[in-house]
Amino acid sequence: MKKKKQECYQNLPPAVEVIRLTKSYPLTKNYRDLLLHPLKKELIPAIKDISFTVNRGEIFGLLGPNGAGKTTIIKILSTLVLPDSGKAIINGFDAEQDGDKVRRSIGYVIGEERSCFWRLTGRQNLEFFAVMNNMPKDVAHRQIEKLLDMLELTDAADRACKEYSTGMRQKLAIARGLLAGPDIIFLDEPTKSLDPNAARHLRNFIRNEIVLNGGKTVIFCTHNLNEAEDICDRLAIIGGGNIKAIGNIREIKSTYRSRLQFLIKTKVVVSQDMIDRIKNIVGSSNVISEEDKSSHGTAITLTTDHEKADFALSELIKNGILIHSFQCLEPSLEEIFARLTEYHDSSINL
Amino acid sequence: MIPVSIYKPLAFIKKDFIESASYKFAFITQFIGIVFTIILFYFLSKLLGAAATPYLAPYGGNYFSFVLIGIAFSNYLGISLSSFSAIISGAQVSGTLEALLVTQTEVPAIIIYSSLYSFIITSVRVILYILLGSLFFGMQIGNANYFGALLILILTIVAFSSIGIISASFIMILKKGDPFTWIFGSVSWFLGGVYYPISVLPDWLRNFSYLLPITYSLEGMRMALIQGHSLYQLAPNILALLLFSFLMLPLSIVIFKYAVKKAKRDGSLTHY
Repeated sequence: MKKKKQECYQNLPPAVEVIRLTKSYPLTKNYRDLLLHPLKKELIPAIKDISFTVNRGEIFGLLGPNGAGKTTIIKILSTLVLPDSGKAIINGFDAEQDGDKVRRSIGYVIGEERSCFWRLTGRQNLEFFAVMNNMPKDVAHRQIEKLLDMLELTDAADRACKEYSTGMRQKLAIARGLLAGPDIIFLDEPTKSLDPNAARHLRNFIRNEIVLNGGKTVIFCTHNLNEAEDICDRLAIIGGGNIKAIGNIREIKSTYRSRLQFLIKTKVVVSQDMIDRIKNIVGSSNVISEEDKSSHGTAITLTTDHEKADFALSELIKNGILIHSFQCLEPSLEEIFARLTEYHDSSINL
Repeated sequence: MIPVSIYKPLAFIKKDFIESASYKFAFITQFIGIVFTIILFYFLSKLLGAAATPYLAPYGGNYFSFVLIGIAFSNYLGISLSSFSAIISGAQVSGTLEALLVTQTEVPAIIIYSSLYSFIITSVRVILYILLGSLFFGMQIGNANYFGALLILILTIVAFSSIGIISASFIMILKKGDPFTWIFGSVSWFLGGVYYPISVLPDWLRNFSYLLPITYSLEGMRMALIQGHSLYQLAPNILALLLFSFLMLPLSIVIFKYAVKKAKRDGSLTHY
């Protein structure tokens, strides 16, 4: 199905193309600097030389800790912030030059709870934003009813938003983002204030209704790793304003597999002498051995590369030790994320 | 089918009315305050009596009519100076500004349409001032030139709005403490002839009054409503307001566009 969809998009430009985007913000001056250096401008870099492409019909995640630069990217793509250099092309339009055409192509769902008019009902909010998006009245009416129904807000549609729960407000924000039928939806931490069940329900809605049925492209900002793993087709891990890794989850994990852990379980207890030999192969600090009840033998964890792990395994076999299992332990996204965003020393492009 | 240019402003007016009317107490008390203001100045004018007549002769000699028009129409200045900037800071604080700015409506249109409700409610207040003043307190507008008054009112709103848009530009960049509103507002109230005719001011100070649109607005409005002056007689005030509008409106739009661009460049468009 996905392949078929990609074929439909073949003649269209990518949904989003970000080319060497850089943005710094001016630092707020204290009174002393204001007096002594009124004209001096100090800048804090927010994103540096960021490039990526988002294909049509995919959910692309921007994953990063707070302050990593995710929201800056989204705001540039939404025409709310101008970049210092570089280009953002959305639906074939330049965000800086063709702001109005870009805004016709996008829906921006803000994670903030207070992004609707609290004293208006849900329906009145949507009617107002439909007018702001130049929608004819009858089209707007049909679309509002459809969205209220899809998001299970019909019963609450005529209640003031101030009476809504956080989850209902978030759904309303999504309805507003989808209202004008944009091709591309930006979701900036949409599940931030939701409980786990509501968050899962919302992710399913995004995946099934917006992307699979609606054919939209979604850029999903989050710092929640499980969420990114659950919903994103591809993602970029952002740290310190740079892209640290980009690709689908499998690609990102496989890049880190070579430096990761291998678990060998034996059917018999391995002697200390044999363990020492393994330590000679992979280094003593890289071997942990312990009794393993499930295999009635020993569990040996090796932190090494593929070649040495294979060598250690063949050494065990050569010495007549029966092997119960041998597996390469995949790094969790959390481990990769922590490694990439804590130390800003490497950039990986897949 | 209603064109977008009509239903978009109507949508803003409807939204702002629903929001405003939902604060029931504040909605009602804003009208009650008018009655108290009228009574206050009615008795004050009785106290002044004939003492103020030499200065008020060009306006028919009645201080109550003079001051009521001054207070009523200076509401437009107050609302112009405050509403545009209040819209921006209000939307920044409530979090709705981002949602509005990513719609297919241009920023200047959002700002102008957002102010419409304030101007409508101000007009209702002005009508109430005039209606209550003339029906129950002897305000003299029997010979009024309503068409002239309407023309001056439209030019007043345009001229004052330009000032309000400049004020909103300051808010867009500085977020708070807009110096333009403070200076322009204070000087206008002081020198514009709201509570007293500018003829009471010393010559050197009166020269500054002629630099303010409110001076021409109130002068023209009083002449049209109290004295019933013809358009020809009102021409100096109308031309002065036209000149202000022609100069200030394009200037305010240029300044506002610059402010939006600067705020987008600084990344502070939605900060408060």
